[in-house]
Amino acid sequence: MTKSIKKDFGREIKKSISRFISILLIVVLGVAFFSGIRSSMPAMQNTADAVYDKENFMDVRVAGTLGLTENDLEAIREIEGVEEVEGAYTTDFLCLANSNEIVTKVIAMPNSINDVKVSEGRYPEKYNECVASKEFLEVSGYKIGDYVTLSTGTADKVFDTLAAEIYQIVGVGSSSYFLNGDMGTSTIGDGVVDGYLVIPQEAYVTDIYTSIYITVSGARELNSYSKEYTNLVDIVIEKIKLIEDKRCDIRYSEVRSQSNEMLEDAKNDYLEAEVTVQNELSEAYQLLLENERKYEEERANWEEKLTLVENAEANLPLYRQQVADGEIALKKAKQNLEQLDAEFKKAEAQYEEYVNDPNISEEQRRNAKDSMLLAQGMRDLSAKAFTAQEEELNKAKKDLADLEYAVANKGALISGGEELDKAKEELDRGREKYEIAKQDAEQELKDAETRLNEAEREINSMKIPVWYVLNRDANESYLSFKNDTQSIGAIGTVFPIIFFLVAALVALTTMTRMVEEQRTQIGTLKALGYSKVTIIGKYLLYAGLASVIGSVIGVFLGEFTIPYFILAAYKTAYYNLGESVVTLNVLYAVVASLAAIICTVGATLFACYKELRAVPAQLMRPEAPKTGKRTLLEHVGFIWERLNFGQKAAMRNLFRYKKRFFMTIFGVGGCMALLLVGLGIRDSVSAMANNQYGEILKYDSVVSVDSNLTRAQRRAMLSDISDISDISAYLQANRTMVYAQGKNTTNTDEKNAYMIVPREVENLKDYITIRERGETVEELELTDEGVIITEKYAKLLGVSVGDSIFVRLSEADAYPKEVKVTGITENYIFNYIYMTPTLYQSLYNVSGELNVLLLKLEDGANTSDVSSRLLQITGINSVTMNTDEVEQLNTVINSLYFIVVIMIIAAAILAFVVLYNLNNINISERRRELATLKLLGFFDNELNAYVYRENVVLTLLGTILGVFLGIGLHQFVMITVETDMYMFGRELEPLSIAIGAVLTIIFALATNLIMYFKLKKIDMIESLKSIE
Amino acid sequence: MSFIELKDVVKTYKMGEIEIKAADNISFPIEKGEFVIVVGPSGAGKTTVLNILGGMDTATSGGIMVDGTDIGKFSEKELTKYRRDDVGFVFQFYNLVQNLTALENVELASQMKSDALEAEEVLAEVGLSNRLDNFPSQLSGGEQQRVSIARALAKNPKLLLCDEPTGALDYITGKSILKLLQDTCREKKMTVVVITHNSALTPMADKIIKIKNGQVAQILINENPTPVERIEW
Repeated sequence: MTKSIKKDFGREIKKSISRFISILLIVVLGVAFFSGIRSSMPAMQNTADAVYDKENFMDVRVAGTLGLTENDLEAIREIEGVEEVEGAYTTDFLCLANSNEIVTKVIAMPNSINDVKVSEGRYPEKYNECVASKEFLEVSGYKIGDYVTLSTGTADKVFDTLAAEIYQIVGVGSSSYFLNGDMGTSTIGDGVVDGYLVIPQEAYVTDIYTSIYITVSGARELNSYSKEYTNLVDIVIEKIKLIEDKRCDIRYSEVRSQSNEMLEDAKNDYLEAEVTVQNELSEAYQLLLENERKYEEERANWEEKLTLVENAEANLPLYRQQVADGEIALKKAKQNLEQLDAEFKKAEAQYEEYVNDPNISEEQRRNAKDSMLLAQGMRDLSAKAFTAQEEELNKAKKDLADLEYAVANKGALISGGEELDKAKEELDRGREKYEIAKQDAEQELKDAETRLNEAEREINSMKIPVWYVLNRDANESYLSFKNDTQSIGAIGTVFPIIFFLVAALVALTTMTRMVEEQRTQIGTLKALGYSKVTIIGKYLLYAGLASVIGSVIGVFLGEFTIPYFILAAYKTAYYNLGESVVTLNVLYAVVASLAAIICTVGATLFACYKELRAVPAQLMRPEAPKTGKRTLLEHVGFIWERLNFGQKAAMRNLFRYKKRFFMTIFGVGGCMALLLVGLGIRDSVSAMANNQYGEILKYDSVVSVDSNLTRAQRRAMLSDISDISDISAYLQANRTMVYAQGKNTTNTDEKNAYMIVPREVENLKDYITIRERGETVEELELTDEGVIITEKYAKLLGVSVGDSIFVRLSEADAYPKEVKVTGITENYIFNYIYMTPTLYQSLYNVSGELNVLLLKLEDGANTSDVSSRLLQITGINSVTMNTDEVEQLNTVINSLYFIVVIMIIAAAILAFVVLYNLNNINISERRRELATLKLLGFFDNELNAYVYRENVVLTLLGTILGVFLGIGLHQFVMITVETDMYMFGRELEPLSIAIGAVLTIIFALATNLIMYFKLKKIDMIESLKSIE
Repeated sequence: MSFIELKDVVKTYKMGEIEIKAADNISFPIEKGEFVIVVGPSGAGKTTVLNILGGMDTATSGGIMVDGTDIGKFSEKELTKYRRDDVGFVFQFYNLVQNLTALENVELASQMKSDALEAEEVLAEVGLSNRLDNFPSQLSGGEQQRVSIARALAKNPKLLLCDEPTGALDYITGKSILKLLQDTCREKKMTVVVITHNSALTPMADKIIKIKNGQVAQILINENPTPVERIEW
């Protein structure tokens, strides 16, 4: 390059700075957008990865249906590749705050894995202190220092699991385990976890872990979202799965023997208790009988006494008479005795006299002796009689005294009878009590027996536990963030294409114009003997320099601003993400810059090609003006004749400059398309929510039911459900997570879905709309011929109506069943297979367990109220309310607003660059024509109209192209962004198209406004100058 | 009072610090229906006269009476209206809109004014009735200049202002264009002002105004203008 050429180059840029800038700007735009959005995905991933590394987020989580033991932990620790293992305790509890029932997870403070960081306050130190999550504090209204009282929400006691019931909040904590506010569902309260509390490990009294967290050696160094990471972790997962069966068997027999032991103890206790109770009862009975017997005796005694007294009372005068008679008789006997004694004494005296008196004959003496002896005998007899009489009287007297005593004591005897009556009453009550106690005891024993039987049955029906060995994808917030990064990645692959295409077109038109303007100079240089390379080099360098500067600015602008914006937007939802980690992504920077440079330099080369082929002489003559051409419209006479010259000129101009035409309509079309995609993403996601929960799913809630219920329990449960007045109807169904694969398709991937088998097929349509998506809504009929599957699922399996699929009921099901697909139904969230119970029966020879209920609620029902009432019913495991799902989706939809904003900004810039460039070229090229018109007396507005008319038509054409481009791009983006579980709405709302069109036109008008001042500056004198 | 009268017109341009007097007290009258040639070497101030007379520029001082109105006092909008209604321009390089046919280029002017002439008739008058639907690029230079003249005449202006009308044409074509202008002046009683550096053309004019160093050097009245056919250069 000679010195003068260099000077020329420098001056060229200075002179045509606006042209230079327009290339530079479109390159900045393209490069910034490409590298910025592309590097947003790694930036998002690195940001999340940094938090995960910092807080030592687990790589694998193992959960067991029967819990996990220290031995399980040790066994896992032994596995090669396992770096760290930690047992964890997590249980859901309820707590009441401001008459709000809050469901909270209570997590034991981890030692290392899934670290909890405390942002305010301090870590808990005592067993009754806790750290609360932000969400918990928001819902409860509690502050640091407040006390939280927990309850289990079931029959269990808090103390079964925890050492305390009341905890003092000492800090605010967060964990990367919950990046956003989604903490999953629970089986208590209203079924939605509102927040979590972290307590010291010693506050947990159980030694059975709820999960085991594992970190994998070498995984921290890798990016969580990379293939290498997944591979590394998968190896460890496989290894853990290898020990699963053994550990589960051990755990099973452990729990089983433990339970059996406990059962045995309980049984013995029961038997002992039974004996004791029986003994106690019989003792009590014996006592009762004894008392009764005593009473009877006493009663008889008393009766006898009473009779005696009564008899005595009756005989009293008789006895009295007897005594009186006796006394009289005794007196007589005494008189008799005394008379006889006197007679004896007389006789004796006579005898003595006779004896002594010898004068008395013997005879006389003998007679006297005999008389004396007779008298003596008489007297003795009488004395005897007297004594007898006296004795008799004494006896009679005594008897009378006795009688009199007894009669005198009759009152006491009667009151003794009353006592006895009372004793009898007492005895009767005692018997009653005894009867009740006996019944109670028997009932208790019977209950205890039932419980024992139940426990025994439970133990017997206890299944061998299974482990869930889960990677990070099973963590809800991890997965949803991962999906979000992929969405951004997908957007980054599509949109920049528009910018590069437009960049190429802008460069092409601009450089063509530049080369045309300088054809004389090119000719001169050629004539002076400069080589083609030197001449063309100037233009290539010009475009190249603009591109390089643009690329550098674009890379830095894009890579260091867009990821921050996107991250900032996502951080509103994922508030536990830490510092944004944004690094310069060299690959995307280079790719973007190269693409931009190739586009512009290539376009320049193409623009120079024609001029370089011409000989110098040709070039030094002014170029023959481009011939006016007739357009198709001119053949439609009645329209054409009505146009004024300005409209005619505009029509012809449109088609005269093809490069400009394409540049503009692609630029404006791209602008429109970007707007449509931005607005359309929102449309699609909200359409997904609206269609799914407004049209497809007519039920309001899914209730999962304990499948081990007895018939009676089930009846009771259903009647309890019917008692809730807000529930208008329900459908019992079997819902199983199944695995299916298409038959005879190239797509051999097995995909999972919920299989729904309703109890009554004819009622299914009241709960779920089964119809083909399309213009005409046609309901599909579920028959015994085959299954109906959802649209996305059919696509995933690669099947259509009439094809067959193989269904396995679980991952362990080794016998896939072939069923025909008889219909494909519209559906947006999750994948479903619908099957009739008859078909199920014929396939599996059993009918499916009715493990779910689909509920319909009355309008305006309070869902959280219904939910908590449902969860109190025995047999209901969990309740999922569709309103909660909708709410969750709505937060996602709101977070998409920022995409709309980014799109609008990008679209505005695109429209501006393209239209500014077009106007710039048009004006500079037609400067003479415009000056002439001005000179001929065109008013400013007439002149503007003359120029703008073309812009307006191109803008309108571009907008129309943009509608199609936007619809296509939107479809592409939505399909790319979709995950297996979702199908977004495919249609754009007419309102969005209208908004897009209005915005596009506003951008165009704004750009034209700037042109207005440029047009005003055109000097009409230029029309008089000679052509260069 | 003449139809057109320039009185003490001064035009100064400021080029940084320096003031350049492009027109220094220029005064001359032009009568209605006159064929006037303003002649002078490059840089003498011809174009300034043209600009001021054509309403494209305003004078720093002085009066410009056209048909009884002082256009020197016109606002920009009034000047535009003056150009639109009262002046017909003929350019050295024709300045046709490339994308419009001959007819459409004339219509461009005629549609601006209510008392305009029928475009086809005007084109027939300049001898182009058979080229109505041709684009400028399909016409020769002379034909293009005829379209340009037709465009100027279609407005039925008070004044036809021609800037080097033959400057880009060959000798014969140039002559025929000058003839057309002279005929128009004679037949339609049109006031025609031709501005040229070529003093050989002057014999055909009714009045010759010689400009030199921004001043009127001489005004010649030619009682017997030479027909164009007889002028040689």
